Amino acid sequence: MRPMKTMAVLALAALALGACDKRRGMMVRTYTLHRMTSQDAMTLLTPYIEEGGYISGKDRLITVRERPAQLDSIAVILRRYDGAPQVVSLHFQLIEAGDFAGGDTAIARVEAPLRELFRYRGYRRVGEVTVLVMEGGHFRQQQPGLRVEGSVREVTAGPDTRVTLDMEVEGESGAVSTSVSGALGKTLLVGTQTRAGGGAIIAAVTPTVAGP
Amino acid sequence: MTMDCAAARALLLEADPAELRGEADSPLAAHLAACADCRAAADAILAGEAELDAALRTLASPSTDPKVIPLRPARGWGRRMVPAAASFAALAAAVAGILLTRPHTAAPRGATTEQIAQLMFPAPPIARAAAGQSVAVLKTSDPGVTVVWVY
Repeated sequence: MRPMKTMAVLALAALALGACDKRRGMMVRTYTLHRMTSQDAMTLLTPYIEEGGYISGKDRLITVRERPAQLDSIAVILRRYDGAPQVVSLHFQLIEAGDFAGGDTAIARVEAPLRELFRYRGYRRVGEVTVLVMEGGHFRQQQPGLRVEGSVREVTAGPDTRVTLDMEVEGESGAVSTSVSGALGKTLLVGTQTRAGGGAIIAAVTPTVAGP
Repeated sequence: MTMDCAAARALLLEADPAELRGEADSPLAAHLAACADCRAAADAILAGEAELDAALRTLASPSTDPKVIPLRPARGWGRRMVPAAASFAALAAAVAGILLTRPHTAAPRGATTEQIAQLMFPAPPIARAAAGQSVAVLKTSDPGVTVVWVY
Protein backbone atom coordinates (compact mmCIF):
# COMPACT_ATOMS: atom_id res chain seq x y z
CA MET A 1 0.00 0.00 0.00
CA ARG A 2 2.86 2.32 0.95
CA PRO A 3 4.61 2.14 -2.45
CA MET A 4 1.29 2.91 -4.10
CA LYS A 5 0.89 6.00 -1.94
CA THR A 6 4.43 7.13 -2.71
CA MET A 7 3.80 6.69 -6.41
CA ALA A 8 0.61 8.65 -6.23
CA VAL A 9 2.37 11.51 -4.45
CA LEU A 10 5.16 11.45 -6.99
CA ALA A 11 2.66 11.47 -9.84
CA LEU A 12 0.88 14.49 -8.36
CA ALA A 13 4.20 16.26 -7.87
CA ALA A 14 5.10 15.57 -11.49
CA LEU A 15 1.77 16.96 -12.63
CA ALA A 16 2.29 20.09 -10.54
CA LEU A 17 5.79 20.52 -11.95
CA GLY A 18 4.38 20.13 -15.45
CA ALA A 19 1.83 22.85 -14.76
CA CYS A 20 4.57 25.13 -13.41
CA ASP A 21 6.63 24.47 -16.52
CA LYS A 22 3.78 25.63 -18.72
CA ARG A 23 3.68 28.88 -16.80
CA ARG A 24 7.44 29.35 -16.74
CA GLY A 25 8.53 32.55 -18.42
CA MET A 26 5.02 33.93 -18.51
CA MET A 27 4.33 37.54 -17.63
CA VAL A 28 1.22 39.55 -16.96
CA ARG A 29 0.33 42.65 -18.95
CA THR A 30 -2.74 44.90 -18.87
CA TYR A 31 -3.99 46.63 -22.00
CA THR A 32 -6.33 49.61 -22.25
CA LEU A 33 -9.02 49.29 -24.91
CA HIS A 34 -10.11 52.23 -27.07
CA ARG A 35 -13.17 50.99 -28.93
CA MET A 36 -13.73 47.32 -28.22
CA THR A 37 -15.42 46.00 -25.15
CA SER A 38 -13.36 43.66 -22.99
CA GLN A 39 -15.67 40.85 -24.09
CA ASP A 40 -14.93 41.55 -27.76
CA ALA A 41 -11.22 41.77 -27.07
CA MET A 42 -11.24 38.45 -25.24
CA THR A 43 -13.06 36.82 -28.16
CA LEU A 44 -10.52 38.26 -30.57
CA LEU A 45 -7.48 37.31 -28.51
CA THR A 46 -8.47 33.87 -27.27
CA PRO A 47 -6.54 32.12 -30.09
CA TYR A 48 -3.38 33.75 -28.76
CA ILE A 49 -3.73 32.32 -25.29
CA GLU A 50 -1.81 29.10 -25.01
CA GLU A 51 -1.89 26.45 -22.35
CA GLY A 52 -1.03 27.97 -19.00
CA GLY A 53 -1.98 31.43 -20.24
CA TYR A 54 -4.95 33.40 -19.03
CA ILE A 55 -7.04 36.35 -20.16
CA SER A 56 -9.55 38.38 -18.21
CA GLY A 57 -11.19 41.71 -18.72
CA LYS A 58 -13.53 44.32 -17.40
CA ASP A 59 -14.80 47.57 -18.89
CA ARG A 60 -11.98 48.94 -21.04
CA LEU A 61 -9.17 46.87 -19.57
CA ILE A 62 -7.94 43.38 -20.28
CA THR A 63 -5.20 41.53 -18.47
CA VAL A 64 -3.28 38.70 -20.07
CA ARG A 65 -0.80 36.19 -18.66
CA GLU A 66 1.33 34.83 -21.48
CA ARG A 67 4.87 34.56 -22.74
CA PRO A 68 6.44 37.92 -23.67
CA ALA A 69 6.38 37.10 -27.38
CA GLN A 70 2.65 36.37 -27.20
CA LEU A 71 2.07 39.55 -25.20
CA ASP A 72 3.84 41.52 -27.93
CA SER A 73 1.68 39.83 -30.58
CA ILE A 74 -1.42 40.76 -28.61
CA ALA A 75 -0.23 44.39 -28.47
CA VAL A 76 0.15 44.37 -32.26
CA ILE A 77 -3.32 42.85 -32.74
CA LEU A 78 -4.86 45.45 -30.45
CA ARG A 79 -3.12 48.30 -32.28
CA ARG A 80 -4.57 46.93 -35.50
CA TYR A 81 -8.15 46.35 -34.38
CA ASP A 82 -8.51 48.68 -31.44
CA GLY A 83 -6.50 51.75 -32.36
CA ALA A 84 -7.16 55.13 -30.78
CA PRO A 85 -9.56 57.40 -32.72
CA GLN A 86 -7.80 58.82 -35.74
CA VAL A 87 -7.70 62.10 -37.55
CA VAL A 88 -8.90 61.63 -41.10
CA SER A 89 -8.07 63.87 -44.02
CA LEU A 90 -10.84 64.11 -46.62
CA HIS A 91 -9.94 65.63 -49.96
CA PHE A 92 -12.99 66.76 -51.92
CA GLN A 93 -13.20 67.82 -55.55
CA LEU A 94 -16.50 69.01 -56.92
CA ILE A 95 -16.96 68.18 -60.58
CA GLU A 96 -19.65 69.26 -63.01
CA ALA A 97 -20.57 67.06 -65.94
CA GLY A 98 -22.66 68.26 -68.84
CA ASP A 99 -23.06 69.07 -72.44
CA PHE A 100 -20.06 71.32 -72.78
CA ALA A 101 -16.85 70.72 -74.64
CA GLY A 102 -13.57 69.65 -73.16
CA GLY A 103 -12.04 68.15 -70.07
CA ASP A 104 -10.00 69.40 -67.16
CA THR A 105 -6.44 68.29 -66.42
CA ALA A 106 -7.05 68.92 -62.71
CA ILE A 107 -9.41 65.95 -62.66
CA ALA A 108 -7.67 63.81 -65.28
CA ARG A 109 -7.37 60.82 -62.93
CA VAL A 110 -11.09 60.55 -62.34
CA GLU A 111 -12.26 61.80 -65.72
CA ALA A 112 -11.20 58.62 -67.52
CA PRO A 113 -13.24 56.29 -65.26
CA LEU A 114 -16.19 58.68 -65.53
CA ARG A 115 -16.06 58.61 -69.31
CA GLU A 116 -16.15 54.80 -69.17
CA LEU A 117 -19.52 54.93 -67.47
CA PHE A 118 -21.31 58.11 -68.53
CA ARG A 119 -21.97 59.89 -71.76
CA TYR A 120 -21.52 63.50 -70.71
CA ARG A 121 -19.47 65.52 -73.17
CA GLY A 122 -17.54 67.55 -70.70
CA TYR A 123 -16.24 67.38 -67.12
CA ARG A 124 -14.83 70.30 -65.20
CA ARG A 125 -13.66 70.94 -61.67
CA VAL A 126 -15.76 73.46 -59.80
CA GLY A 127 -13.79 73.54 -56.58
CA GLU A 128 -11.56 71.63 -54.23
CA VAL A 129 -11.19 71.46 -50.48
CA THR A 130 -9.47 69.30 -47.86
CA VAL A 131 -10.81 68.89 -44.35
CA LEU A 132 -9.26 67.25 -41.29
CA VAL A 133 -11.75 65.51 -39.05
CA MET A 134 -11.37 63.49 -35.87
CA GLU A 135 -13.15 60.14 -36.12
CA GLY A 136 -16.68 60.69 -34.84
CA GLY A 137 -16.47 64.41 -35.56
CA HIS A 138 -18.30 66.78 -37.89
CA PHE A 139 -16.88 68.95 -40.64
CA ARG A 140 -18.09 71.94 -42.59
CA GLN A 141 -16.18 74.02 -45.10
CA GLN A 142 -17.53 76.70 -47.33
CA GLN A 143 -15.95 78.69 -50.11
CA PRO A 144 -17.43 80.51 -53.10
CA GLY A 145 -19.33 77.96 -55.18
CA LEU A 146 -18.62 75.01 -52.90
CA ARG A 147 -19.85 73.77 -49.55
CA VAL A 148 -18.90 70.44 -47.96
CA GLU A 149 -20.47 69.24 -44.76
CA GLY A 150 -20.80 65.95 -42.91
CA SER A 151 -19.30 63.69 -40.32
CA VAL A 152 -16.84 60.83 -40.10
CA ARG A 153 -18.79 58.03 -38.50
CA GLU A 154 -15.99 55.54 -38.05
CA VAL A 155 -12.65 54.33 -39.24
CA THR A 156 -13.14 50.58 -39.46
CA ALA A 157 -10.56 48.43 -37.76
CA GLY A 158 -8.72 45.72 -39.58
CA PRO A 159 -6.25 45.28 -42.39
CA ASP A 160 -8.50 46.99 -44.95
CA THR A 161 -9.12 50.20 -43.09
CA ARG A 162 -12.21 52.01 -44.36
CA VAL A 163 -13.58 55.41 -43.54
CA THR A 164 -17.35 55.71 -43.26
CA LEU A 165 -18.75 59.19 -43.61
CA ASP A 166 -21.97 61.07 -44.14
CA MET A 167 -21.36 63.81 -46.67
CA GLU A 168 -23.14 66.59 -48.43
CA VAL A 169 -21.42 68.51 -51.17
CA GLU A 170 -23.10 71.48 -52.79
CA GLY A 171 -22.13 73.59 -55.77
CA GLU A 172 -24.00 76.24 -57.68
CA SER A 173 -25.61 73.72 -60.01
CA GLY A 174 -26.76 71.27 -57.36
CA ALA A 175 -25.90 69.12 -54.40
CA VAL A 176 -25.21 65.48 -53.68
CA SER A 177 -25.45 63.80 -50.31
CA THR A 178 -25.22 60.25 -49.07
CA SER A 179 -23.38 57.95 -46.69
CA VAL A 180 -20.33 56.20 -48.11
CA SER A 181 -17.46 54.05 -46.98
CA GLY A 182 -14.13 54.22 -48.76
CA ALA A 183 -10.73 52.62 -48.42
CA LEU A 184 -7.80 54.83 -47.48
CA GLY A 185 -6.15 56.47 -50.46
CA LYS A 186 -8.89 55.40 -52.87
CA THR A 187 -11.37 57.75 -54.48
CA LEU A 188 -15.12 57.57 -54.36
CA LEU A 189 -16.99 59.52 -57.02
CA VAL A 190 -20.40 60.33 -55.60
CA GLY A 191 -22.66 61.77 -58.24
CA THR A 192 -26.20 62.59 -59.11
CA GLN A 193 -28.06 64.17 -61.96
CA THR A 194 -28.76 67.86 -61.62
CA ARG A 195 -32.35 68.98 -61.69
CA ALA A 196 -31.81 71.39 -64.56
CA GLY A 197 -29.81 71.24 -67.76
CA GLY A 198 -29.40 67.45 -67.97
CA GLY A 199 -25.96 67.54 -66.38
CA ALA A 200 -24.58 65.96 -63.25
CA ILE A 201 -22.75 66.98 -60.14
CA ILE A 202 -20.04 64.66 -58.87
CA ALA A 203 -18.07 64.85 -55.63
CA ALA A 204 -14.74 63.04 -55.63
CA VAL A 205 -13.69 62.22 -52.08
CA THR A 206 -10.41 60.58 -51.08
CA PRO A 207 -9.87 59.72 -47.41
CA THR A 208 -6.45 59.31 -45.82
CA VAL A 209 -5.40 59.00 -42.22
CA ALA A 210 -3.71 62.16 -41.03
CA GLY A 211 -2.67 60.83 -37.63
CA PRO A 212 -3.86 59.53 -34.28
CA MET B 1 -44.74 74.52 -72.92
CA THR B 2 -45.81 70.92 -73.47
CA MET B 3 -43.31 68.13 -73.84
CA ASP B 4 -43.41 65.86 -76.88
CA CYS B 5 -43.06 62.08 -76.76
CA ALA B 6 -39.44 62.04 -77.97
CA ALA B 7 -38.34 64.38 -75.20
CA ALA B 8 -40.32 62.43 -72.63
CA ARG B 9 -38.82 59.08 -73.70
CA ALA B 10 -35.32 60.59 -73.43
CA LEU B 11 -35.98 61.44 -69.78
CA LEU B 12 -37.80 58.27 -68.74
CA LEU B 13 -34.75 56.23 -67.68
CA GLU B 14 -33.42 58.93 -65.40
CA ALA B 15 -36.72 60.07 -63.92
CA ASP B 16 -37.76 59.69 -60.28
CA PRO B 17 -40.34 57.02 -59.49
CA ALA B 18 -42.79 59.78 -58.52
CA GLU B 19 -42.34 61.38 -61.94
CA LEU B 20 -42.79 58.02 -63.64
CA ARG B 21 -46.06 57.58 -61.79
CA GLY B 22 -47.11 61.00 -63.05
CA GLU B 23 -47.33 62.32 -59.50
CA ALA B 24 -44.59 64.96 -59.59
CA ASP B 25 -44.98 68.57 -60.60
CA SER B 26 -42.82 68.45 -63.71
CA PRO B 27 -43.27 68.64 -67.50
CA LEU B 28 -42.47 64.90 -67.74
CA ALA B 29 -45.11 63.99 -65.16
CA ALA B 30 -47.63 66.20 -66.95
CA HIS B 31 -46.85 64.51 -70.25
CA LEU B 32 -47.19 61.03 -68.72
CA ALA B 33 -50.55 61.96 -67.28
CA ALA B 34 -51.76 62.87 -70.76
CA CYS B 35 -50.01 60.34 -73.03
CA ALA B 36 -51.05 56.69 -72.75
CA ASP B 37 -48.11 55.37 -74.81
CA CYS B 38 -45.46 57.10 -72.73
CA ARG B 39 -47.32 56.15 -69.56
CA ALA B 40 -47.14 52.50 -70.65
CA ALA B 41 -43.38 52.86 -71.12
CA ALA B 42 -43.10 54.46 -67.69
CA ASP B 43 -45.13 51.63 -66.15
CA ALA B 44 -42.77 49.10 -67.73
CA ILE B 45 -39.78 50.89 -66.18
CA LEU B 46 -41.46 50.99 -62.77
CA ALA B 47 -42.24 47.28 -63.00
CA GLY B 48 -38.65 46.53 -63.97
CA GLU B 49 -37.31 48.58 -61.06
CA ALA B 50 -39.62 46.78 -58.63
CA GLU B 51 -38.42 43.42 -59.95
CA LEU B 52 -34.78 44.46 -59.64
CA ASP B 53 -35.38 45.78 -56.14
CA ALA B 54 -36.97 42.47 -55.10
CA ALA B 55 -34.07 40.52 -56.61
CA LEU B 56 -31.52 42.68 -54.79
CA ARG B 57 -33.36 42.23 -51.51
CA THR B 58 -33.22 38.46 -51.99
CA LEU B 59 -29.49 38.62 -52.67
CA ALA B 60 -28.86 40.82 -49.66
CA SER B 61 -30.85 38.71 -47.19
CA PRO B 62 -28.58 37.32 -44.48
CA SER B 63 -27.60 33.67 -44.53
CA THR B 64 -29.34 31.45 -42.07
CA ASP B 65 -26.34 29.13 -41.81
CA PRO B 66 -24.88 29.38 -38.33
CA LYS B 67 -21.24 30.44 -38.22
CA VAL B 68 -19.40 28.39 -35.62
CA ILE B 69 -15.81 29.07 -34.73
CA PRO B 70 -14.05 26.45 -32.67
CA LEU B 71 -12.24 28.80 -30.33
CA ARG B 72 -10.91 26.06 -28.10
CA PRO B 73 -11.11 22.60 -29.54
CA ALA B 74 -11.80 19.99 -26.89
CA ARG B 75 -8.64 18.36 -25.62
CA GLY B 76 -7.75 15.67 -23.16
CA TRP B 77 -7.24 11.98 -22.75
CA GLY B 78 -10.92 11.21 -22.84
CA ARG B 79 -11.18 12.38 -26.43
CA ARG B 80 -7.83 11.17 -27.66
CA MET B 81 -8.32 7.66 -26.34
CA VAL B 82 -11.64 7.02 -28.01
CA PRO B 83 -11.80 3.28 -28.40
CA ALA B 84 -13.51 3.26 -31.77
CA ALA B 85 -10.79 2.70 -34.32
CA ALA B 86 -12.47 4.80 -36.97
CA SER B 87 -12.71 7.81 -34.69
CA PHE B 88 -9.10 7.39 -33.64
CA ALA B 89 -7.97 7.22 -37.26
CA ALA B 90 -9.92 10.37 -38.07
CA LEU B 91 -8.41 12.15 -35.08
CA ALA B 92 -4.92 11.03 -36.04
CA ALA B 93 -5.44 12.24 -39.59
CA ALA B 94 -6.69 15.60 -38.33
CA VAL B 95 -3.71 16.00 -35.97
CA ALA B 96 -1.31 15.04 -38.75
CA GLY B 97 -2.99 17.55 -41.04
CA ILE B 98 -2.67 20.32 -38.48
CA LEU B 99 0.98 19.48 -37.77
CA LEU B 100 1.85 19.40 -41.46
CA THR B 101 0.05 22.59 -42.41
CA ARG B 102 0.49 24.91 -39.45
CA PRO B 103 2.84 27.86 -39.88
CA HIS B 104 6.17 28.00 -38.10
CA THR B 105 5.20 30.98 -36.00
CA ALA B 106 3.32 30.47 -32.76
CA ALA B 107 0.04 29.32 -34.20
CA PRO B 108 -3.12 30.18 -32.31
CA ARG B 109 -5.54 27.33 -31.78
CA GLY B 110 -8.90 27.09 -33.50
CA ALA B 111 -10.01 30.10 -35.52
CA THR B 112 -7.34 32.65 -36.31
CA THR B 113 -7.56 36.23 -35.16
CA GLU B 114 -8.09 37.27 -38.80
CA GLN B 115 -11.10 34.95 -39.09
CA ILE B 116 -12.55 36.20 -35.84
CA ALA B 117 -11.89 39.81 -36.82
CA GLN B 118 -13.67 39.35 -40.13
CA LEU B 119 -16.78 38.29 -38.23
CA MET B 120 -16.41 40.93 -35.55
CA PHE B 121 -15.63 43.80 -37.92
CA PRO B 122 -17.48 43.14 -41.16
CA ALA B 123 -16.60 45.60 -43.91
CA PRO B 124 -19.23 48.34 -44.11
CA PRO B 125 -21.17 48.69 -47.38
CA ILE B 126 -19.65 51.16 -49.86
CA ALA B 127 -22.81 53.26 -49.85
CA ARG B 128 -25.98 53.53 -47.82
CA ALA B 129 -29.03 55.10 -49.36
CA ALA B 130 -30.92 57.64 -47.30
CA ALA B 131 -34.70 57.55 -47.09
CA GLY B 132 -36.24 58.16 -50.52
CA GLN B 133 -32.89 57.66 -52.19
CA SER B 134 -31.41 54.88 -54.28
CA VAL B 135 -27.72 54.35 -54.89
CA ALA B 136 -25.79 52.29 -57.40
CA VAL B 137 -22.15 51.33 -56.82
CA LEU B 138 -20.22 51.06 -60.06
CA LYS B 139 -16.71 49.63 -60.34
CA THR B 140 -14.38 51.17 -62.87
CA SER B 141 -11.29 49.86 -64.63
CA ASP B 142 -9.22 51.94 -62.18
CA PRO B 143 -9.10 49.93 -58.91
CA GLY B 144 -8.55 53.17 -57.04
CA VAL B 145 -11.81 54.74 -58.24
CA THR B 146 -15.36 53.64 -57.46
CA VAL B 147 -18.48 55.47 -58.56
CA VAL B 148 -21.51 55.85 -56.29
CA TRP B 149 -24.50 57.15 -58.21
CA VAL B 150 -27.37 58.61 -56.24
CA TYR B 151 -30.78 58.71 -57.92
